[in-house]
Amino acid sequence: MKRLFVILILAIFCLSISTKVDAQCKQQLVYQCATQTEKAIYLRDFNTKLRREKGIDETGMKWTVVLNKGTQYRFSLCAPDGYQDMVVLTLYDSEHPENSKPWGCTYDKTTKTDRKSFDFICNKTAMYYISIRFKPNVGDKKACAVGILSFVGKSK
Amino acid sequence: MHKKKWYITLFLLMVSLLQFNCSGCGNDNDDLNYPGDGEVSQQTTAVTYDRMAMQEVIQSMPAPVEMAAMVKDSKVPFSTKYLQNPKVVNDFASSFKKALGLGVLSADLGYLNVYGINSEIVEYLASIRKIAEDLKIGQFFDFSTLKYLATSNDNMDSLLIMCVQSYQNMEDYLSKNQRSNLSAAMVTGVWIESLYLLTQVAKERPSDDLRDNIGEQKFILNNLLPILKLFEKDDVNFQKLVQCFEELKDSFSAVDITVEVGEPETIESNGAFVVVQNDRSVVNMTSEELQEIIQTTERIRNKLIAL
Repeated sequence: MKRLFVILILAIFCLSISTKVDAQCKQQLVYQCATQTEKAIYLRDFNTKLRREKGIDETGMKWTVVLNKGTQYRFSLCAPDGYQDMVVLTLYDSEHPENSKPWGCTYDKTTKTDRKSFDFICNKTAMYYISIRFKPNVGDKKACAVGILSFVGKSK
Repeated sequence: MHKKKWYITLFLLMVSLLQFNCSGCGNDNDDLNYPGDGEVSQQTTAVTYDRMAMQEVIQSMPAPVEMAAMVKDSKVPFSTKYLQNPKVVNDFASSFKKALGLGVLSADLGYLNVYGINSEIVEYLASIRKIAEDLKIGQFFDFSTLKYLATSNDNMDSLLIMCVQSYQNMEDYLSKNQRSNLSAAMVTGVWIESLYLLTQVAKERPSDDLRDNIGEQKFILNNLLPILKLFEKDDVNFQKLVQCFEELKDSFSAVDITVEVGEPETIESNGAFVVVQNDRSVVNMTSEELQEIIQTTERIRNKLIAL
């Protein structure tokens, strides 16, 4: 009976751990990230857990979004302390693939520098993709990150 | 021997519990598979359609504040005449109509949020809460906090963020819980109300920017209509909705959009790193064609609320 009790406690502990490590970023980080966009108007967020698995290079998640012509958008990326320089947000579409020539990225491969955000002046209403992933060969096994899409203004 | 069996059973129970927990968190691989990646399509309603493709379109629809932000940025003054009366909520009988109305009122709430009109917001929040509770998604709409934020003038940014997130969470929940029809009705409500706002403003204050924005909504209409058609076999409300959208499609048929391809460039502006897309779409549409879209949108928006 005693052993049964210990095993049940262990099971509950494992359950709670696996829930925590797989979770998306907390609301506090989402809010903090959404209010860092200066005067831009928050449109939506992209909150994801990140998990690096053995033998799989691709991590994270991608979303679709329609961006409108004549609009300047801001894409910002936030992650918990210690993870900021491990994650990358990319804006791309079928003609500008994620890994070769995306529209924009929070990580500059040439200078190997990170930026917290970038703006995109859209001149063609279409469906675009946004991905948030660990950088190649970088990153812990598990983390979370949040991207924010905001409206800067009509492009003049 | 008996004891050993008992431990094995217990171990299997633990493993299955953990697996159940992981599936509840969502599967990362699922997140990465999109139509065209070789994924096997799944059955949705009566029609065979790729569930991921449908979610992709619904997910991609513009946020309920985006068109309002465009209108405000064009220096158009605020007006309540563009808004639906929040009391209309009492006329919504079916789940379909509630979901559609939730979208319409969410777009109006977005408009009020963007212009910071606190005095009107609480009434819209109350109506949205009523619909959300009727649709059993009230847990994603924290009325008390939203009301508090709306009545304290300093928190307009927080209010806007929380309103948009509540909308996103409600839509996401419906979409992931075999209620995609309601999720589709919701995004349709947001879109038609946003188009109504754009067209009404264009009627009073015509500009090339607004004309282009309206013309380019043809892209969204062409993506949304096939999704609505998925549900028309099972639901007479969707049949009527599709009929309305076919009318709208006819009005947009004359709009011709061509794309001039260009190389993107990057600039620094006010300390921000800016990517300029030099592909440029050109919207060809006569004033008469624009007028027809404006009239059809107005008629359909009013008809949908009265469906």
